Amino acid sequence: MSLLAVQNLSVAYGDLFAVRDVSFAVEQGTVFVLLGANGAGKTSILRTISGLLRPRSGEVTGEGKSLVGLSPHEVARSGISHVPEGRRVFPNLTVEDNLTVSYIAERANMPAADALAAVYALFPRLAERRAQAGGTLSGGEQQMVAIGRAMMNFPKLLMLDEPSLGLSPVMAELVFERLAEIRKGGTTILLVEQNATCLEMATQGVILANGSVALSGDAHSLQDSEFVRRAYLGV
Amino acid sequence: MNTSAPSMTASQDNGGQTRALLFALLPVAAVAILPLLPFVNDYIIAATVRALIFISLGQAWNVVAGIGGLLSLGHGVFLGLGCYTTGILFNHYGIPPWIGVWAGAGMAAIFALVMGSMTLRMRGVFFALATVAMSLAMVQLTRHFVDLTGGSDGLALKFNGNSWWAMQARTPMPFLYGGLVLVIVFYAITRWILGSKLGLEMQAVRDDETAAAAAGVSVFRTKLTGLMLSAVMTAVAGTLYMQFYMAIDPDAAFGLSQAIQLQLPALLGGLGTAWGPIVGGALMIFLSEVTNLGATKLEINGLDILVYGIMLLFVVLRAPKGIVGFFMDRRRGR
Repeated sequence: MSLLAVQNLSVAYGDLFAVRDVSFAVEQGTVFVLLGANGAGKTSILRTISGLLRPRSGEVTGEGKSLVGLSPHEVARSGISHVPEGRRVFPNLTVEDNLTVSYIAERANMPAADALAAVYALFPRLAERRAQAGGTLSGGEQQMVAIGRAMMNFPKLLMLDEPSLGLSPVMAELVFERLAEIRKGGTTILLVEQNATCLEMATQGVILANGSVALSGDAHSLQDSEFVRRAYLGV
Repeated sequence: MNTSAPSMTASQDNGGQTRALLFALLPVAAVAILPLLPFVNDYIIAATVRALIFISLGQAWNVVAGIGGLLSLGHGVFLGLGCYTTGILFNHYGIPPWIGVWAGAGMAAIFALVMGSMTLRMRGVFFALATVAMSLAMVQLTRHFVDLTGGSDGLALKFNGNSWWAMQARTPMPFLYGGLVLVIVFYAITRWILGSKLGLEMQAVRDDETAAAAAGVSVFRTKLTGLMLSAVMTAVAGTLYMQFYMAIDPDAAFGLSQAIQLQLPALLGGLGTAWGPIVGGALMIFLSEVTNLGATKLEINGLDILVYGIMLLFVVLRAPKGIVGFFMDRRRGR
């Protein structure tokens, strides 16, 4: 059974369809990429999975159970964490409080202090900044907080919406390196990107164009495909 | 645990805590010994009681608006429920306010539950407008049940002389200590909320609802809990209000100027901080007394409201985090 399965999903804002008949499945232990340009429907798919949007039609299941109709916090508590686009750190809370908000004892299966220590081990910079307000951090540090906040939930599936957006190349590289570390720890990753270089760390993926699946398959075949070469790499 | 804690937390060591405690005990002691001072008369004590009552009311509003970010413009509803429940139970049934206070708190909790269930799924300005509508509805309701509430004339407590049992006194002195206890308890509650998981969740929802939901926070339940807590606190302070002023009317409970007075302590002092409503409430009553003295001489009515407006304008423009927030930022060097 897939960790996450999306079947014939359509999402619409009024009459405007953002996502049309999209299907894909994310298996345990993989890094799955949703690749597409602006407006391809990537964010709408993530928001639908995490309960922030209702689908027009289609089905989303997590380990066989339907996620449609659940509130966002219920989806999060089922083990699917969403790192939203633009990071959305709580500006007036300290780094430590930002992280502690999403601590749930039943999910973490350890005391809050240990869960914090685990996140600080992943992002040592956050330990240095623990008493600082979220709004005063740099973009890269905020991205660390956003990912750390999601990891405090000890998710089975970590969904990230363009984590490298607005970051310096060095910082973006650091974020992806940390994601590789998270994957080694056994967390499955669903990554939304418009930068094809992320295929290097992926196992499977889907390429979206105008709300529909243009191409799907394992990451290597996508990387070598004519579509990606022309549309994303310009060669 | 972590040795590389930044210097900012250095003030939270033992010396800092002792200093903070002394700093907190100083105003408490000052209020407690007030009646012993030679120059203090009943007028000054009464003004201090007013300050304590509005600090308590401001602290209650701070919970929902400052910590929770819900702009309730209709908190007079809960003040009114506290006042009227206590007053009606005493006047009509002889039930003392010691019991009436819990009845009022219960009424406020139920009202907040119903009102919150209907309005808290609305975002931003719609919730604020709904709370205004509630206030207006309460005015009509009070006027309708005239036998119980006294209608537009208001409800005056029956007075049978000084009595512990009836929580009534001819002098303001007992209310000074009652108000002081309430302020300390509400301050402790606010500190507890700020340090609790509930407080974290309320602040997360205030900062970013969507991100809070994605972090596993039940947005609706968090808002509802905050609103109910604040409503209960407001109603409890309402009982003290009723016992001190001995009367309530629809305008004093649900009117616009009262709504402003409920919000001003936290807005002036600093939203979402435990000290904000204390500093802001004290300042508000002090300025209101001074301007009222001036207004009597100049024969201008409502000068205090004008002064409130100017103060609010000043805070919004020069210190949007309030007085406490302003100084906290300066200490952090921001």
